[in-house]
Amino acid sequence: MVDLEKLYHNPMDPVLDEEKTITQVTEDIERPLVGTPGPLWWFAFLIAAPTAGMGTLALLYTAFTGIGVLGLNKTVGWGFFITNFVFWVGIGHAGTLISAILYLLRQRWRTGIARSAEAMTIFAVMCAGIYPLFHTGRPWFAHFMAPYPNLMGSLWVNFRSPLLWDMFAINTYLIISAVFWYLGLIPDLAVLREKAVGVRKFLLSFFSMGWTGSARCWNHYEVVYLLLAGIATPLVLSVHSVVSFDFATGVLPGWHSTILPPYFVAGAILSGFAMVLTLLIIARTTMNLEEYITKDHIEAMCKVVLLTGMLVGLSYGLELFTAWYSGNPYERFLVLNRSTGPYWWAFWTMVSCNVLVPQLFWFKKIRRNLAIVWVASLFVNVGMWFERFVIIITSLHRDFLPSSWVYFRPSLIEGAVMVGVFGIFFTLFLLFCRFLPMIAMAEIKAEVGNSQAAREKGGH
Amino acid sequence: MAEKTEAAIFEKQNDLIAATIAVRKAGFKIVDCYTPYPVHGIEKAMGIGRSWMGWAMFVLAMTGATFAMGAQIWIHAMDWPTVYGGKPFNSWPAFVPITFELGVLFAGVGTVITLLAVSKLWPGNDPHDMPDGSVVRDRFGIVAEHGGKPEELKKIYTDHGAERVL
Repeated sequence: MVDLEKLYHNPMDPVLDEEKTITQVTEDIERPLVGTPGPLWWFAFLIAAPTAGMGTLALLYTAFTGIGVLGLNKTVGWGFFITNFVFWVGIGHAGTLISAILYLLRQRWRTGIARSAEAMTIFAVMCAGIYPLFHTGRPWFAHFMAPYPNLMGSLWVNFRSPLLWDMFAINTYLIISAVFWYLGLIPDLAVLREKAVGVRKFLLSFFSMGWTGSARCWNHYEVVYLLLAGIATPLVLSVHSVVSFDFATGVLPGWHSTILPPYFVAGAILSGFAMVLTLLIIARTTMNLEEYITKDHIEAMCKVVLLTGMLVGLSYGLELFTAWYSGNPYERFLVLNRSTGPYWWAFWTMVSCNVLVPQLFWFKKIRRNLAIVWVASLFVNVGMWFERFVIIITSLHRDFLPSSWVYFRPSLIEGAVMVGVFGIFFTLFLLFCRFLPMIAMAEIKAEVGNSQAAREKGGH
Repeated sequence: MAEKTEAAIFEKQNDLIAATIAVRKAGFKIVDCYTPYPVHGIEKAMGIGRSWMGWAMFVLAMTGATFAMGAQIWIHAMDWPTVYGGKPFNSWPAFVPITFELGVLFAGVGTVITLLAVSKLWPGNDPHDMPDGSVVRDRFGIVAEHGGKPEELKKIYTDHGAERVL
């Protein structure tokens, strides 16, 4: 017989700071959704929404004028758009890692942060998708990427191309993440449905699908949730591996490398967790959820950032070593050019933000100091953005023919799109915080209720 | 339906489990229990078996993967054979990533649709089976068929600490 008492009160395994009843849990999580949002929320929203508007205009301008408005040229054909695409896909990794992999590993602290991390994942993957769509130049022909019988032959897409693999991987990831997130939301929407009125009641009834909390349904539901976590785990690892194939199957020095898939996955987890920290440190205060997203959560995430930061550092080191050990003059040139060439500043920003800054998290005092953690998470975000920039731009800007060498500068429109897409992301996240339960209510209640029941049973 | 059944609401999950066991022992047929979260041990008390959803997912995953691999081979080796990079027409290792992705896609989406269909959940559906709104929040409900002995069933509920008998 498992000692339930011990299982549910492992100090390494915090779910909540203090004891709460399931009634309190329900009310606490419901509260930010029924009142009016505070001034901090409005402040953030009034910055994010106009920024999103600006990004939309810049994207429309790009689409109607042509991608000549970007800073691209014959040598650097992948610029800011692809950099941002890879960056956002990376951000999108933390959600499913937290909700699926940590679920399988029985990391019970994940419960408090899983919902918001999943939402972040979905929004990040949506933001990522914008870039290749507009980078095609003619987004209205996007359906050409899908294999469908057509009047041109039928002429099919090339299934041997990593770019097509990528399209399938990203779309599968987006759909599965959304399904996983929505499945978790159904019981919580049903809770909100019971006290709602008017339009809210109608919408919540519609989307909660007539959920009753039937035990027969829960029996299937729990198995499906576990299975989804099981298939999402290889999926999350496959997505950034496939993104890395876009580069690794090319012949350019710096791209043509077998280390790329694990290197990209480690980087994705690093950047994703940094973004979760950035968002949740703010959200827990503005939404009064400090008791649910505790300092223990922040600390645990800091440890993941520390680990993946070192994995990324190891990858940088391996790249240097492989370049030297291969004896390939092109690889050797690339490594020297990256660290001392015209983009040296980008390379060293990347190394300091991704490898040095996370070293702060060796200290418990720093891991529990929210201000420092928040600033450090911003640095890691910047560093991971530069990692994508360094991989793409420095491999391209020195072509095999010195006459084609260029220095890539983004155009104003590219900058506006980049900032604007951040605006879209934050707008979506703020709306999520306002209208949907940020904490997986049913999961927290299962932790609290089942442990209390086990204790009561033991006490009698 | 309502005439044939009796429902009760409990405040504690242990009381619900105890009542469920007693109701079954007394020979009543349990329609369903309603809980705000998956309660450990309720399926045993109600006598429901292990969910078969795993098999559904397996079949769906295999369908997706077979479809993806089949479609790619058909397209590139049979319908319109084209040479890319000197590779053979049926260069199946290059088809593995999409085979995996579609397997996952079919499995994930298909299993959730199966779950919703089996549990009779669809957008806009009314939660009419639910004995009381509180069971999705913080109470535990049970509905059983009284089989002509409603008083006996109600007594089992109250004996096990039911907060309300409906």
